[in-house]
Amino acid sequence: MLFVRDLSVEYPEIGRTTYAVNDVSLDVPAGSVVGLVGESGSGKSTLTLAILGLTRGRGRIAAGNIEFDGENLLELSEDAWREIRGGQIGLVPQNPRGALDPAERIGMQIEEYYLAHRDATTAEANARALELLTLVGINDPERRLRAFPHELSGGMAQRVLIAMALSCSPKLLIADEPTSGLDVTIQAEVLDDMRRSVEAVGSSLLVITQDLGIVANYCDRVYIMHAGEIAEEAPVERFFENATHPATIALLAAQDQHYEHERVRLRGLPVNTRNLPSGCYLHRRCQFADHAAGCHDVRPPLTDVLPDHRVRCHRFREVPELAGRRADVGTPAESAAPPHARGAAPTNGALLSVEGLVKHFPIPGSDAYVQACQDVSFDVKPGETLGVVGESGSGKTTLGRCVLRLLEPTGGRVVFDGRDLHELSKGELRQLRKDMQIVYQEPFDSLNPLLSVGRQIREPLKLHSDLSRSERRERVHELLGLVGLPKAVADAVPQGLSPGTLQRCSIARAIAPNPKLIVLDEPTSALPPEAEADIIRLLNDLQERLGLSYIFISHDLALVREFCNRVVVMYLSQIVEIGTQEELFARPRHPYSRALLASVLEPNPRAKRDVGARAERLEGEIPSPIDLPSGCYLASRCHFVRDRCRSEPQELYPLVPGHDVRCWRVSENDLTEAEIEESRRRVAASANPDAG
Amino acid sequence: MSGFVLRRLLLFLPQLLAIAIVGFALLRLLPVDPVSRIVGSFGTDEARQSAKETIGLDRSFGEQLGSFLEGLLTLDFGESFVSGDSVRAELGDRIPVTLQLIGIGFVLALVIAIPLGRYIASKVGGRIEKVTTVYALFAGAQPDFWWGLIFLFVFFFKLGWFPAPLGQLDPTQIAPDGPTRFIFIDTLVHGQFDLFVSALKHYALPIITLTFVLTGPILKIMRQSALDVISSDYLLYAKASGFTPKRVRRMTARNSFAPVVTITGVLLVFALGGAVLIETVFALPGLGRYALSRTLDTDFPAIQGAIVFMAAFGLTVYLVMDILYALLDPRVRHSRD
Repeated sequence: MLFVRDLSVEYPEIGRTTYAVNDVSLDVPAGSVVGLVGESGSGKSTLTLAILGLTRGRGRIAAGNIEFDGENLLELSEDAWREIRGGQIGLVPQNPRGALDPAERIGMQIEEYYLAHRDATTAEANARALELLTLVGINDPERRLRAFPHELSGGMAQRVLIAMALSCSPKLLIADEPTSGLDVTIQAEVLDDMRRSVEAVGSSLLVITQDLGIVANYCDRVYIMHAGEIAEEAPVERFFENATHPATIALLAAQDQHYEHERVRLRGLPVNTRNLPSGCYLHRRCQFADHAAGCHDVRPPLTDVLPDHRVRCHRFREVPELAGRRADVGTPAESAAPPHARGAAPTNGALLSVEGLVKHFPIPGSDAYVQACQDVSFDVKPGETLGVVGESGSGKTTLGRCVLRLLEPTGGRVVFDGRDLHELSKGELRQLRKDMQIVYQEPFDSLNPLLSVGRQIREPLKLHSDLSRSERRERVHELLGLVGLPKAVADAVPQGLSPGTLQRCSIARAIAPNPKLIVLDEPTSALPPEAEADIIRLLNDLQERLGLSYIFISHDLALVREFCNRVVVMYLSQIVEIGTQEELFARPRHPYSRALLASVLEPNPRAKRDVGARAERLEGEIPSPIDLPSGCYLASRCHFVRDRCRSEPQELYPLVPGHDVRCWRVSENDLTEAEIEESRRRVAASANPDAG
Repeated sequence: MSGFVLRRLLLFLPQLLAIAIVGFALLRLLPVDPVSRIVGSFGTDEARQSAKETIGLDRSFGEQLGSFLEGLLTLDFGESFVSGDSVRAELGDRIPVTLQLIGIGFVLALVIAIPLGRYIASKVGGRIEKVTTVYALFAGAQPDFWWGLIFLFVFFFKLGWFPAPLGQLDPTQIAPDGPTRFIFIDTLVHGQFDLFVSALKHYALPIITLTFVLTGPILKIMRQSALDVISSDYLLYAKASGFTPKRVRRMTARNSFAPVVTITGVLLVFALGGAVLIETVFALPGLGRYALSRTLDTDFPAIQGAIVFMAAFGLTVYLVMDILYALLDPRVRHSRD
């Protein structure tokens, strides 16, 4: 279907030319799903644009061939190109909300897209738009057609773009990070929808992603890009089990327990295509680089390992052995104790206890309010990590801020270290602040861009300690050392530092006053996978050394499983389930927890998420937090709903000590495994292509 | 959207009234004495008293305000303290001069700045961009009356292309009387094409000066906002979707206009008062000069009339600007609905 040969995209700059895409060959056979993986800046997005004959800024397609459906695209006229773009090759771009024209209604945009490629009347285009929005699962499509992009959530905008891309039944669909920034439940749904739609019309799919779970579950074949080149290409099973390129292995090691991370990780910062080294582009970062093999001087060619497995590495025969893949590790789901979780924490006394916390945000000019937290109670013990998971809008972030009294709760009590935060005076609260710190999601936004990093870490020391000037300076260096950064970072300003480094700086600032508790509000969600793994290791390490307690707010279940002792699952302002990490991940009981877990994509092609998992997926959209249902908040989306659910508000019922569930059916043993099994079978049967 | 417009329209009159009343009251709080202006510092008490009665300052504040507001209903601002003529008639003579000056000046500035800004945004680093950057810097770095003097020196004094800066027409020519007091319209209505051409020549340099100064900031804003759109994800995606060049152009235009609307509105309101400088240099009998000289003469009715007109003008411009902005950018529309 699509054959890209020796494609290069160059950016002319004063004095020299740099290559964002360098000599790339890539095949997407008809009917297949191909993954394109690589760290940010590796040229993935540039490549996808080049396939459509486009470049950003002053880029230029310098060399190569793009054969699509028997035609050489690079020889086409501008008019013929326009028919290919959107008509034959559909693109689902990154940044869905930014890709829609902000000044045009959604319906208009879909219609124009359709009319650009099909001879149809406006009425036909309108009908098609409606049909497509329904197809991609948007509620109330008539109303959405009249909406402007700023009125859509990220997930909805993503679906609109998928609808547009599918509108002309393209032969190839290119999806550039189609689910980054979406909640897990929606991610799985969007991917399922996309694959189903592609299968239905017999076209092919090229997925650009950094998420190995997506690769393992959806792709047949994988290409790894590094510094504008293809570093390795392999069928998906070989990619996960017989990777030979150091960049591939480092990527896998970030999410895969088969490798020992320290042994295979890449050193330093990603290679910049504006300043490529001689020899193998990776040699400065690679732990296996060897002078004798020529890594430092000779650019390695793409070599066949097997007929369908190619790699660009001089030492591809030795690397797998040097990397030492452990064959006997089960999938994380099966392994009883994840390597990082340290079992149950000491049970004596609570450092923090939250009792019946309520937070409402009044809506100006009306009596209505947004219910962000409702009757939330939990304890955090010293040295423990409590995970808080839920979709966006579930109230996790508000909860974290209320706990620290950065927001004033509407009701309830927060007792920290034996003291009720709401009975403290302002002065006493400020004293206590040094014991409770927070790390935010956005590394760039949480540091002042004008001040040096060192100065920002010194700030809390000034407030909360009586160290002298030179002692403070020394302490900053010590703190930077603790978070694994060189002293020199103290003098740098945030601009120019990588997100991972910035997040380490934020952590250094948080631990500066020797706190007892740190609230981690999605500390890794803005980071690439490798930096994410590093930060998690760092947080674990600091906890062991300093005896910290964490509240870890995240929508990433894999991280929570790896990192937390106990887990709170939140849905629409309430806790729906609370339990130990082992209990909750091995035996989730609440239908919402089940749905969350069922949507996790394991980075293992032999443990694909089966169609039956869709039985647990939630229907429809999350209700508005302003106008909540009278009964169970999940009732409108739950597969196992009964009449009683719709009328009776649900309480947290204890199952076993330490494991509570907000569902009467679970608590009264009314929801049986047999019923769940039956539901799974039904969905699996209906998902069968023969039936559908 | 219509609700938003309606609300703004309903607010228009109360806002105008409030400005008029505040202006009226502030004038009377000023430590100035219009009577002395009329009878001189050495006038007798009787002369002062009779002058006071003539201009109505002997009445109480409330009575004065009452008759001011009553006159406002029919746009009657009373008689000038200085000339004794109807302020409304005087304003009727002056306002068209200023409106013609800034109206034509703005239209020309927009006609030049928008396409040029759009063009240089797509040719970043080109020669035209460098020239326009230098121009924008120069035009904005010198006050408009200074440019006016330079243009006069070059085009009138040295080259003699344009007539002497002595008003709308040559001193020997007499402007037609009505019906609109806009000289470009009235001369055409009366078929006096020679006067039309003469007016055109007299207005040319002041308009060029104004356009020259205004084009700079509008050009800068247009270039920046077109650049933002051109490098945006949605434009790239529009190309990747196979949209026609025409559609892509429309998208660029529409999304880059909103900031231009804002800057134009703000500049326009400033230009009404600021026109006094250009009017002075070119001896045009416009509103700015009128308002300035009557302020120095403490001519209350004239000042009040000018305040009401300028406020009405400003409020109208801001209203139109808000409506245009809302039409161009749905995000604004929704936050206000």
